[in-house]
Amino acid sequence: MLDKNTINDVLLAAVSTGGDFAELFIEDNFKNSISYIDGQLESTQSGRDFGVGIRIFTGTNAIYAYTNSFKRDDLILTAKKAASAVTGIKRDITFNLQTKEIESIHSFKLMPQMVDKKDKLDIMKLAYETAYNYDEVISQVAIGYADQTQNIAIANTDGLYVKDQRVYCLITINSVAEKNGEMQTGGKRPGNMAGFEFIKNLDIKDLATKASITAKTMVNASYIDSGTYPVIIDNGFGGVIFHEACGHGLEATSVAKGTSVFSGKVGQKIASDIVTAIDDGTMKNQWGSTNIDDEGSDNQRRVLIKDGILQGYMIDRLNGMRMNMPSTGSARRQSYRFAPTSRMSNTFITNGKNTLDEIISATDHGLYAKQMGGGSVNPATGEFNFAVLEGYLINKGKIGKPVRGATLIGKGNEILHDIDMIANNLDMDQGMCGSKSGSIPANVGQPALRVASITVGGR
Amino acid sequence: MSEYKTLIEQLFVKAKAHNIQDMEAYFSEGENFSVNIFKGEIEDYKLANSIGLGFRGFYNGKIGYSYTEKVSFDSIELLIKDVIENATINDSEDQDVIFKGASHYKEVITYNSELDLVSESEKITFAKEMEKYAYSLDSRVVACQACMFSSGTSNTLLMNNKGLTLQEKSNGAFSYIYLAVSEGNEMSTGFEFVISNDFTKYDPKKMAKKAVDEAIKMLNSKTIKTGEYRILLNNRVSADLLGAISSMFSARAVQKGVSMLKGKLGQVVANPCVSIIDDPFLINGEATASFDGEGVPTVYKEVIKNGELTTYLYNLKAAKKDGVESTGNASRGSYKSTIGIAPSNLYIKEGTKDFAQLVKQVSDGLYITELSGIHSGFNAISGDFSLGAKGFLIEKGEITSAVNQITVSGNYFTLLNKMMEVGSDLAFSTSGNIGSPSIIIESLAIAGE
Repeated sequence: MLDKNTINDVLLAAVSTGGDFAELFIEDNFKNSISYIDGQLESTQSGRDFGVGIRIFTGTNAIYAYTNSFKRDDLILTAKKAASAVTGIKRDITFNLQTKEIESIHSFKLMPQMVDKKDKLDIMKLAYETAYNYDEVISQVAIGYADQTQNIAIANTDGLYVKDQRVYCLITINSVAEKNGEMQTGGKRPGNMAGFEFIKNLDIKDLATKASITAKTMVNASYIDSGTYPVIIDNGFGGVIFHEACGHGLEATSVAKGTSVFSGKVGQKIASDIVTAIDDGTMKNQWGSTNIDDEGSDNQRRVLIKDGILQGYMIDRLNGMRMNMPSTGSARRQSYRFAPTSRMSNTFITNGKNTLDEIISATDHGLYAKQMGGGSVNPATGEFNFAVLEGYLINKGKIGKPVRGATLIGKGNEILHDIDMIANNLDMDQGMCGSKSGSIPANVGQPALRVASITVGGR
Repeated sequence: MSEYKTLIEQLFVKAKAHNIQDMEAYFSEGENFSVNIFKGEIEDYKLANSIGLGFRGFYNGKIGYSYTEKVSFDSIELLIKDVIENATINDSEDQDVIFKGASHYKEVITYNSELDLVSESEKITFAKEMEKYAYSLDSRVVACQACMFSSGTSNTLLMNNKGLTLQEKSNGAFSYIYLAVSEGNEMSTGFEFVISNDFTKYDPKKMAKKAVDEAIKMLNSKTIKTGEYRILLNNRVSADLLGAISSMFSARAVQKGVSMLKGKLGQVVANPCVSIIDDPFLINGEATASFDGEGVPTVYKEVIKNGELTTYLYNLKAAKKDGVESTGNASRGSYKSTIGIAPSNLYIKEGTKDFAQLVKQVSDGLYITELSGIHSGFNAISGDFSLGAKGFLIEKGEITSAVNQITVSGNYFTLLNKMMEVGSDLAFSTSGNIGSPSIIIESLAIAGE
């Protein structure tokens, strides 16, 4: 990467005009992706992302600059250019870069850069064959694969110098079912911060079959009637609602500005008594984990909500200064192209006392959202909408016919109070979370839970 | 640029020695600036200069891709190795083509030298003024979550070993303001944006006022009764929907059986009042270009003409498979991208009636001003959508009370046939290259109370 002398001099150039603090984020990232559609390779790409991000603080304002250049003179020039935006008096900042050793809690066995691309393709082909041959109603299957080996180094004017490596592997399976000129889709996308051993150990046939089952079920489903329903949201990706509708509001990015509905509410009841929610960036090899955050702070397990009471936020260094609170190791960024800010890692609601069967039996008439799709939220008002990918009606405590086209809408802060039953089947799923500092891997998760009443859009 | 041309020539020589046949490099370099203001202070200030090199080539008759952001001679080896490895696992019958070039490329304007003369402090002042004005307009404005301006310049170079060298310099800018207003327990948000490389198009007061007005009007909004409503679809909202489904026009999607337009060529797929144009020469268009991602000259076309589907969009690979000419729609998002298919400036052609006339014509119905969840509640393959919506009731030919917490659902292909009247107020969405006028829809299902 870059030698310590260069790093030292770039940092000094960055604080040469009055900045209080400067930080370097150096990234050298090797990526591979393969797309396989219609029983043929559609495209492959391999490449190397390389760049350096320079951040300068002046008070609680920040300046960010990045470049792809690895040349000392270019880097110092970039730092000086960024520093020229600071209008202050040069401070006496001295530091001595000390290497911080980290003990990785994660293990990477088969490094994706060393795995033959044919081995990657073979697993994709197996997924394709299984999904495509599941049923004649399946008209198309698309398989995607991606890995990256992200090497980073972070240095700052506190004297911190730390390196880390993150390895990610992901496979996506998307089945399309076609009947009477209509198409419906089903999908799976398991990923981990792990080596290729993660992909090898997956039960790929089971995943491919499940993707096709969803597509087939939905192409045979009828539209749900619009209305208000009790909704049982199943485990795993169902956690996307908590992530979008509440999680983002607990990030310091919006809390510090006072634009979050949860600003100033620590210690207050924001959810029903049975809700405890965690954001844990320290889970071994999980999709949203890292040893250190993208400012070099140790990652943590953060309790967000305990028994319905708000405990705290996810905080990065800059917003921590704005809020007068310490960082919780939550700074993340997509790449050197982004200044880091507070983001989620692996965010989930913890297990409750019931079983899924008990919850279904206790529901007279409602919607069972077995698989959620994505959604979006207005951060100021908390209004959200989410698509149900695979849903079923519940009739007199039993799962009934599949329904399509359901969209759940509501307000994040209201839905938390309306959770009235939680099951004991916590599971997590992988997502790419997009926000101010780019698109990052994040786990969403929850056990199955019931919301007493949600507006459901259908036909 | 010349030092990089030398590097590319070296890359070609070394690749040839490794038995790579036809090959192509795609290089780009750019500079960017952006600023975000929060409560009068510079919250974010960002400078970037970036370069990258994409490479693709044929090895044993199959194509492979690679790229690097470490653009130097010592990266050549990895670029070649990756292309060979990727080509080796490529078992597809359909292969890309490295284009030999055309005799004529239409001249288009993609660079405005005036923009590069605007100083950073002028841009910062613009954003500060916009925020200040927004707060001054109404005491109910509680926060401008975003108030930003961004601009950039880029140079791209497409070069292959079949004699083609194309270069393009372009610049652009965009700005947006996103704010919240509050009254009692009610809160609502407003948004406005401008995309243009002409700095005189950025009026801080006009933008702030539009965002504030939009938010204030939405205060005290209510849900409405579930049912079928006649719809007036706002121009930008209609453009967002068209953008979300634009992959249906891709010949590759048709060939792979994931476009509902499969087998519909020459058929009526929309109401006769609907024509959809793909215009790569549109003046000030975001996607205006004389050549596409493969170096093929771009062409103007009506994809849907008076309701009839006249063509799909092609790149060289898809065109070769169908035995037709490329329509110059090869996409290449950046040096990191493989070749795909995308529209240039795609828009629904304007009709004759202005917005006020459309409202009168609807008489009683719903004016939809915002759809949320387009990236998740909209199935781009089937065309099915079920989305959160906001807007206003139209009663007796007048826009009346604000509506919120409703969902609107339907299918885009049905919607195309239900378009009754297309307005004259063509506008482009935040994507910059997808546009539509406001449109009257016969009816859509609304879920409220």
